[in-house]
Amino acid sequence: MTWHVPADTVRAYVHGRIADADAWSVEAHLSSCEQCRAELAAEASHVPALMADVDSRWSAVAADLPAQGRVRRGTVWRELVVLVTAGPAARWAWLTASLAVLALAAGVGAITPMTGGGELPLLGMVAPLVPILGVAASYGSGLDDAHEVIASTPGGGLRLLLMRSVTVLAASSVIAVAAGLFSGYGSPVPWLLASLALVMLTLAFGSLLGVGRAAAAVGGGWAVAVTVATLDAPADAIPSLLTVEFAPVWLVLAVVAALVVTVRRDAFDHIILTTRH
Amino acid sequence: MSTPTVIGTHVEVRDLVVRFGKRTALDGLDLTLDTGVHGLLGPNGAGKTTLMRLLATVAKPTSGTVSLLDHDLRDHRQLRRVRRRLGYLPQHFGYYPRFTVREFVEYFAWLKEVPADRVPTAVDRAIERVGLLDRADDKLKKLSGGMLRRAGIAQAIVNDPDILLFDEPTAGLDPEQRVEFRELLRAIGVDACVLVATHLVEDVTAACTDVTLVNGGRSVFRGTPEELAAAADDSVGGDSPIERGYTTVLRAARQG
Repeated sequence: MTWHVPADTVRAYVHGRIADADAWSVEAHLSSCEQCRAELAAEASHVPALMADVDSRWSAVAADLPAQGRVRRGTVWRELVVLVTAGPAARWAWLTASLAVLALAAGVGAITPMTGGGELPLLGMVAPLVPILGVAASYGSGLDDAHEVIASTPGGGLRLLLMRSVTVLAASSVIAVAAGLFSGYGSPVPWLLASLALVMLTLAFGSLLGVGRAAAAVGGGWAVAVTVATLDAPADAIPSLLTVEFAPVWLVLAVVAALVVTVRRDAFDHIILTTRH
Repeated sequence: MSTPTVIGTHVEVRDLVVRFGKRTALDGLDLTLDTGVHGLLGPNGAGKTTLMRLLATVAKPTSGTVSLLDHDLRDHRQLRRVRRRLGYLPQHFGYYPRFTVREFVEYFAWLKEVPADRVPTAVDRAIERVGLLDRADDKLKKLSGGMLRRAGIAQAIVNDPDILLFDEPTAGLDPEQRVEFRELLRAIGVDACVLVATHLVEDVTAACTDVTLVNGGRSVFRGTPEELAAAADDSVGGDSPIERGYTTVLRAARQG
């Protein structure tokens, strides 16, 4: 398109100082020219009354639309629900899995007490792993079919990851504490700190490896550490990693990992290419 | 109503290089796009999908610059601003089978940070534009391939993007749906920069205002569909002038 509405005419149109015939030709041109529409919009944005008018008319149109099917109102709560529960392990599948794993661990721990003065604290060993697996299942980009599109959205990076991690951590902590109380297994504080630290470590390594791989690495590391600690002190019912004395170590680890995530936050802006050719 | 749209260049790509190990996917590609419907043609492995992923801000280039809507993508804040104005439909897009069409599109509306009070309207409008409103509350697993593709298109346009990227969008659509899709492209192309990567030459002829042909990671032709048809050498095979033009330009690029 070679001809555009002159700036004076745009201004006259915006301020309503234009003859009808000219207004019609401006409107005819606007319907097919983005550049002039943009200039008109820029000019109109200086006129608060006009913008208010446009906004109120738009609200009126939007409010008057008939409800069709199951339309949900757009609220912050709805946003949170959609973003947290959508995903590969959508609709709380991971929560069900967590419950099952913990119930199993608590059950096995309660039924088969180990000999030698102590028992294998299966629940304590498994519980801190649950949130990591939850985070990986609800976010790990390799596991999510729609990750390609999600990676192109502004809300798909660290924000979504943190939202889901916090939810997973909160939900599995509640389950873990309940399971702990039910099975009469010590103070839950060290586990909760251990869970928090492991999730933060997963996120920190996730900025390098991708969340799925990081979860596998951290989970594996935890399994090795807890096995060594248990072998080290077979008579002790609680592995040293989960004692109250060890709790500050987890706290420090969590804080350090959180700092790493903060520093490396831009790494979550793009898909971390590790396997794609 | 949408805020004033950008004035300036929608897509500006300079000397873009992407390497995966030893393989070079893009080799010094330049591209400038503004409003309109642009076709991106090329043989398989020419670098079309890699270019689309870069423009979708999903991946980062090895070297060279990508500027979208005059924003610098290396800056986190500018990147976010661009992403709010972006629509992307990859060739293979994952979907959640248990979601309804409306929930699926709504999910992406939230991810694209559409203002909360506009989400329901934006979602229904996008579904209406792809002709799926009568199936809006059906689960995705109940839809046919063509309908799924349309749900994918609805997801891409839900935020009224300024830059819209479609990678092989007509795969799985029947001829009638293809015609409707091209009409939709033309309607969106009035305001926005639409880039359609395809290997179907007839999509380009019917819907695109201009064509870029890539081969071996470089742009080897840029012009209108008519100009591509005019480049045809009568000795090469092909069922339409534009197909012959495509083959002629490609062969010349391979020899050169």
